[in-house]
Amino acid sequence: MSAEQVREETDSATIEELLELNGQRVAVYSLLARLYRREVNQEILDVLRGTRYPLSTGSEDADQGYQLIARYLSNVYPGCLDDLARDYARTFIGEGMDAFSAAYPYESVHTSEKRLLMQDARDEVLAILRSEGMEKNKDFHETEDHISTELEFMKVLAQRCSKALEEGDDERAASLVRTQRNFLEDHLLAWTPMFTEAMRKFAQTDFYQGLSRLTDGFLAADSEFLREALPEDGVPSEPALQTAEVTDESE
Amino acid sequence: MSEYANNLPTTDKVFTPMGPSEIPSPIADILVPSPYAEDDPARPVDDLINAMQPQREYLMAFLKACEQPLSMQGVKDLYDQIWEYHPIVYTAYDLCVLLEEAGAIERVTADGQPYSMTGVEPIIVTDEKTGATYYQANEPADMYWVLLEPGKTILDDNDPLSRAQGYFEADEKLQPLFKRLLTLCKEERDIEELNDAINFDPLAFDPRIYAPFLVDRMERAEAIEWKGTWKITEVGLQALELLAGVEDHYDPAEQAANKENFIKETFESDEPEETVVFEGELVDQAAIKAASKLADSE
Repeated sequence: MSAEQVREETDSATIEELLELNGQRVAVYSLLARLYRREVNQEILDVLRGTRYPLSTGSEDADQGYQLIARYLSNVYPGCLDDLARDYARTFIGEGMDAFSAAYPYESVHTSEKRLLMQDARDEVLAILRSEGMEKNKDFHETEDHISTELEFMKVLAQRCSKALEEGDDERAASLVRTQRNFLEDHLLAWTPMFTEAMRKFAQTDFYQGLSRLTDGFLAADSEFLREALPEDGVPSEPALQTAEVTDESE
Repeated sequence: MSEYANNLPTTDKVFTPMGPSEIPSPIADILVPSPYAEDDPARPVDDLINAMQPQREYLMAFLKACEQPLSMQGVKDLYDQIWEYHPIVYTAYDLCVLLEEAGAIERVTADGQPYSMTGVEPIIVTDEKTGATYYQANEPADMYWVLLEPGKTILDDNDPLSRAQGYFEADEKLQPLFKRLLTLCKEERDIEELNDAINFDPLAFDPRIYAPFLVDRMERAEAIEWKGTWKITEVGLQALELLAGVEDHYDPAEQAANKENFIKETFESDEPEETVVFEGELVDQAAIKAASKLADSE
């Protein structure tokens, strides 16, 4: 086997690893977006009970989140969906009017001085969504800066990234990684730490306590991954760099 | 200066502390001994059931059923039976939680131990290919509802016959109508039949009451029940015995005539319409009757 063949095999394995990793990111973003979008129903509960949760991810928060969620799912009982729905309402909707009565899942609330909806953050997110050719589904009656929308946006970008990698369009993949990194740092990570802290204050079930930890842990780990994949200077690092090199050689 | 000083109240007069006997009476009238001062574990359950009269049948049935450990499915089956004739917006689990919070019932495991929401730990599995370890949801423990002492007290203290007796005594004048209602309900009756039998009786005019008023009281006393029609219960038969000395000369034909007369007098009178003064406002009786006619015709 020639050196070139060895290198091609190594690069191919790296792309596969990247695709697999990206697939996992898509799955987690998808799960988080769903859990924040509305209450847990029987269908998603069954899916969650059939899911395996990593014991050790390297993130203390994520590990704790997975453990709490897995423990809750090991103790489900008839009526737990009612209790989860109550906890969802208690945690994300609340009953007061002082802007501090729940963990409000909107970026505007956490980044505006008066904790109001539809502030600059929402306009920015709307502009970013449109720049990527997306609009909010009319059936989703929340604002564009709702956490579910932002998480789903990350999911879609990750999916597009996988597609670009599969098609060998590394420039597009790098651009998508950059967009994800910027969006994650400028938006999601700018407010979710405050949001998840509020969640821990209001949530009474292990499920939503775990979800808050998982969100923290996963977003922090994802930020790290995106930084490593594409450093500040825009030059893809390992393994993204290797992928780009393969393309250059082929050209 | 001395005159001014003399006109000021002296310290003695103004600041003498009041003794208990000097406390103005309105305060003593307002503040009464609190029933909550006594440590009665059954009181929250009693309060719950009184506050949820429309759901009383469910709550009492659940308490009774939970004398033996009852699964949530068992509760749901019971709920469905009652729901068929008394639909409510609460779920079976909602009602169980309310009873649980009031201290009437609790969750237990199959072996009667207190049920813990975090009692079962997830399973740890290892992926054979990668060697990575994962949490996997474990099989949850079965959960049952079981009656606690405060709930048992409420069940034991439940005396529907006394409640019926209380309603009879509170509205002594209406006893013949109560008797008529219970007697009629020995056979299955719909509310229209009961309306015709009671609404136009002279006894129902001062104060004005309608059949549903009596039906509601007798239902609360568990003397009649709704199963698509109104029907007397065992308690109702005993309540009827309490009214054995009461005379009621019920004649359907007479009531039908009363109804006819009432309608005639109300809607077909040739006399000039009177204007009734009601709490300082002039009420146009003719307009009210016209509106009633319109509503009836619609």
